[in-house]
Amino acid sequence: MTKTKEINLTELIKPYAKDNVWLALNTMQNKVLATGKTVKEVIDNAKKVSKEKPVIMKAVQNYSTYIF
Amino acid sequence: MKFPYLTLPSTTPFGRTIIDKVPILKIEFKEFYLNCMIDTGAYVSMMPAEFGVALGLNIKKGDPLLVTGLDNIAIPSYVHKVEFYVGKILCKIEVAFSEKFKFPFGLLGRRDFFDIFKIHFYQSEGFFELENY
Repeated sequence: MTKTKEINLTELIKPYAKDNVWLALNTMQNKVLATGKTVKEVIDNAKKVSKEKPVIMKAVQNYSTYIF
Repeated sequence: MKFPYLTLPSTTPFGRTIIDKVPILKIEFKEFYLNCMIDTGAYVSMMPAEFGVALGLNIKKGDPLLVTGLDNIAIPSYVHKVEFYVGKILCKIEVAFSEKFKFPFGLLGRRDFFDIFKIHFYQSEGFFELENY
């Protein structure tokens, strides 16, 4: 099978995890373009610094505790 | 289409770090991508209400739906038909938006989304595969 490139967000998220902020990542998901307290704010902030379409997710300390 | 699992950190209350690999798919809207976990346990797809607002939806005009999770507490949500791309494939699915939904990403549940794709998980190899029906 063809290998897919691993995406490890552990180090990227670490500095933001305590603040629970929304992150706008670049398309490759290896760089934080912008942060924001709301989804709208993070999208607006990303537009100011990059023409790249951002990938949105939230920085939290415990991803594994999310179960619904 | 093959996609890698995302490696995400978790810290236990005792300070131990757990590294988890999660089947998260980057779905494409007009102005942004949204990371969403593929959730075989969820009936309906869910997103935080503020995502709907960013998509230009009037959240409370959707069809009301009470969604119950593990703790048996029903949370109010509003269902809207949403369009996005996965690669070049246009997906039209119903998504429940809720202000009480505080996940760090969206959830792609079985309804609609699992009718568009056959989904194969290869956790040990670190990827999952979507095959269009």
